[in-house]
Amino acid sequence: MTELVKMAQQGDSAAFEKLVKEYDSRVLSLAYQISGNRQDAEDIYQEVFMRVYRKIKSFKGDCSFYTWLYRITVNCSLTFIGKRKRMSHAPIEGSGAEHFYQAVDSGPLPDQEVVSAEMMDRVRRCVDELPLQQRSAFVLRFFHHQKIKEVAWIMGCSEGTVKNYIHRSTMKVKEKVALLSA
Amino acid sequence: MKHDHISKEDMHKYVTGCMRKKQAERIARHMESCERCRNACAEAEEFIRTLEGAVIPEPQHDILLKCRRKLFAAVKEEETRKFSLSAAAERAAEFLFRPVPAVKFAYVAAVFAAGIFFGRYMYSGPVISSPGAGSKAFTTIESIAFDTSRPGKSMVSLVLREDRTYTVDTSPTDPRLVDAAIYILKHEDRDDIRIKAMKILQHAKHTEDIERALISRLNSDENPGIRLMAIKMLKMFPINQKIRDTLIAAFFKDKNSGIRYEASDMLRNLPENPIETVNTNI
Repeated sequence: MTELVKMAQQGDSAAFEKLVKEYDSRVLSLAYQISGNRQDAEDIYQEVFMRVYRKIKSFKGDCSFYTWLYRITVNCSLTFIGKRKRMSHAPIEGSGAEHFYQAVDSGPLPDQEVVSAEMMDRVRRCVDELPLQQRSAFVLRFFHHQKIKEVAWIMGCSEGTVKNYIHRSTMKVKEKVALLSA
Repeated sequence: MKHDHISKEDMHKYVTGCMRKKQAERIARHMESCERCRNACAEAEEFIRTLEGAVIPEPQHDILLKCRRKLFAAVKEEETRKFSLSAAAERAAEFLFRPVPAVKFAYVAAVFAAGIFFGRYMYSGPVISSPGAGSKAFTTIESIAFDTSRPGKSMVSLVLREDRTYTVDTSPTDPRLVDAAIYILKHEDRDDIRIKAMKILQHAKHTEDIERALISRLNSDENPGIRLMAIKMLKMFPINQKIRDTLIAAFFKDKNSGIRYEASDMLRNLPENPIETVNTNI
């Protein structure tokens, strides 16, 4: 357990602020990647860190702080999206990744990297169309580089289920990316 | 599998590591001798490698700053709320009801003890009590039900009414129930209820109070059925002077022949037959 987490657990609000600054960019990204909407991502961010603030004492250091944070984020995202679906039947429009992510420094890139960046842009668009659970598993595995075992813990399901989600989601994404490239 | 190439789906499972170990080994063996599948595998692996090597850009800095500002304001608000009076009350409630085993146990024990205390109070106070302090409790008796299918358990159910209706399940040997039955016999107008009260006394241990109640019934009850029950129950008691006098009175004065017969039967069995003595004295 890091020193910062321990201090935050003892009620040090300055340590909590530092903790937020260190980890929040990944939380916001994950919330955005799951919800597909900037406004929702901001609301999920608030909810996640308020929960962390209230429950940080219950973190025992059995897993990394990131994994714990990811679990809260996924839970909050799924609850938030579920609630929103129940309350409104109108489709929520995505706000566009270009308004959310930082612009990549467009210096002279080698051809290979340009191709890769274009493909990743297509992948991101395809991921938004995946079912919620598959999307969460895909995002955690490939965008946040979590192992299958960790993804299973974060999502609260078995490794077999996660493997199934990842297999199905990568198949779909690959097919769609191929279509977009054509 | 040498001629049947690996399906797209299986290849995908293989490269994403979502395949069972044995099946993965079989596919690896097949690829050693199949160039076409090796190429397909390399192509699939490249896609996965691209995904795995993906670097997702950071969210825009101003969005992050906006989120942080909002969050820190909310945290500050929560901190100030923590020290307010209502929050203190909330914390106290949380402390009392939080699932700490010792607190939980104490809470359950307290509820249990309170249940017993109030149960006893309500049970012995207004419903079953000796006629006196609690005598006003049952001015009207709705019903007494017997359940003989469960001997030793709750065999009697009393429904009593004054302002409220009370239902009591207990055993007929409960001394408080005996007191209640004696009181019912004294004050109740309805014959069927008095008969049921007599039935309660049939199951009870013999005491002087019961004896007195039975003698009183035999002397004064208007219902011959109850008088008959009383005399039959008195048979079970050791005959003393009081019972003897009551039996003699019943033999001479009771209008009901069945009762007179029972009385004579009992008196005849006594070592010194009082009827004969009485007759001789006359």
